[in-house]
Amino acid sequence: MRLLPLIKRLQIAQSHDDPWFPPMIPNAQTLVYFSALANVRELGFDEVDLSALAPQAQQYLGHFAPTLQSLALRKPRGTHSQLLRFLGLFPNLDDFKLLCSHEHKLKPDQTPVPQSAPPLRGRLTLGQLDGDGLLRALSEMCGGLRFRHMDLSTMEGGRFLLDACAETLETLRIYPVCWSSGEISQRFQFLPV
Amino acid sequence: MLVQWGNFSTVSVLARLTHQPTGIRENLLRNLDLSKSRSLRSLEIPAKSVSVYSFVLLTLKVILLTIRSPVFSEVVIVLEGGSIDETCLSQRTLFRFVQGMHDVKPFRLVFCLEIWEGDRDETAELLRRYIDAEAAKGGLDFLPSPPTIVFNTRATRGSKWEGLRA
Repeated sequence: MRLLPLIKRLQIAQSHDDPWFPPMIPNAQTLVYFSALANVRELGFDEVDLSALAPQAQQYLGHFAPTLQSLALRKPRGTHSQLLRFLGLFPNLDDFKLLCSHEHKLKPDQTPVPQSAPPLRGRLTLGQLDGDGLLRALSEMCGGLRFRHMDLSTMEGGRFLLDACAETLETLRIYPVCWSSGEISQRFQFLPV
Repeated sequence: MLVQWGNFSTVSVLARLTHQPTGIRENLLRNLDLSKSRSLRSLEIPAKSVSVYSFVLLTLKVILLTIRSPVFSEVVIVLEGGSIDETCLSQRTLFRFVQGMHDVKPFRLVFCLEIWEGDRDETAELLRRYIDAEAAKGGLDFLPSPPTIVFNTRATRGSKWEGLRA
């Protein structure tokens, strides 16, 4: 318990089939442990249900706000606005990683974006995005995008991102082999070697 | 928009891309235009993308041709995860690929090792052997300076969480 404040990187592993967080009923013991995590800078969340987390997010994770700089979400469930509200909990967030999948897409909705916004001036990592709607909403919430590094394994939303960060982007990582994967790649010519 | 660079132009590169499926070609041009970026210094490509597919090289040529940033200077080939053997990267394929890109836009070549500590020294040594052997043949004369090897210290021990790190 005394070591918990030393933890700077927290990763919450679970699957949709067997989720353990968020608890549907706030659990006093879980809360005590979470409260002791006072210096978390990197948070990773696997297959989180944002709609279930929303009512308890502030209670469990709100104290990460002063220190959290990096957030990674893999296969989250929920809507665009639920994700934006979750991001809005962390006013010092610079790095954001979002890995969706064809089976787990965030649903667009028309809910107004929250007023509070993180700076997001670090690295953006994106995989399997469905259009640029979420990015536009994120830009609206943040008053523009200012990422300095991007890691894009999807082309979706690329144009919007590259234009939005034209004055700030310093490094861009791309995965062209992903764009020609599967049966399509079989139709391309080989380089003579 | 026509971009002229050396003996190449987006027109000639696109002419070759016209043989590729329309959806992918249009998607590329629509989404990966870097012409507005004014601060881009570096383009990073995972070594696993250094592929024998001509599509990948053509794609990168198109992207390089769109770059207008006055501070752009380097292409970084990133070795991720395990050892270099896992990328099935041969010396010949690697430097042919690099030269193909360099033909359309000059850059400094950097190799970034984001691999487990256990494989790091061995991979760096193998990479140095690739570079030395190619340089001895004059195969790197097109580069303005010798390739450099850097280590990304954020990439450390592999785990199931590695993919989640932001």
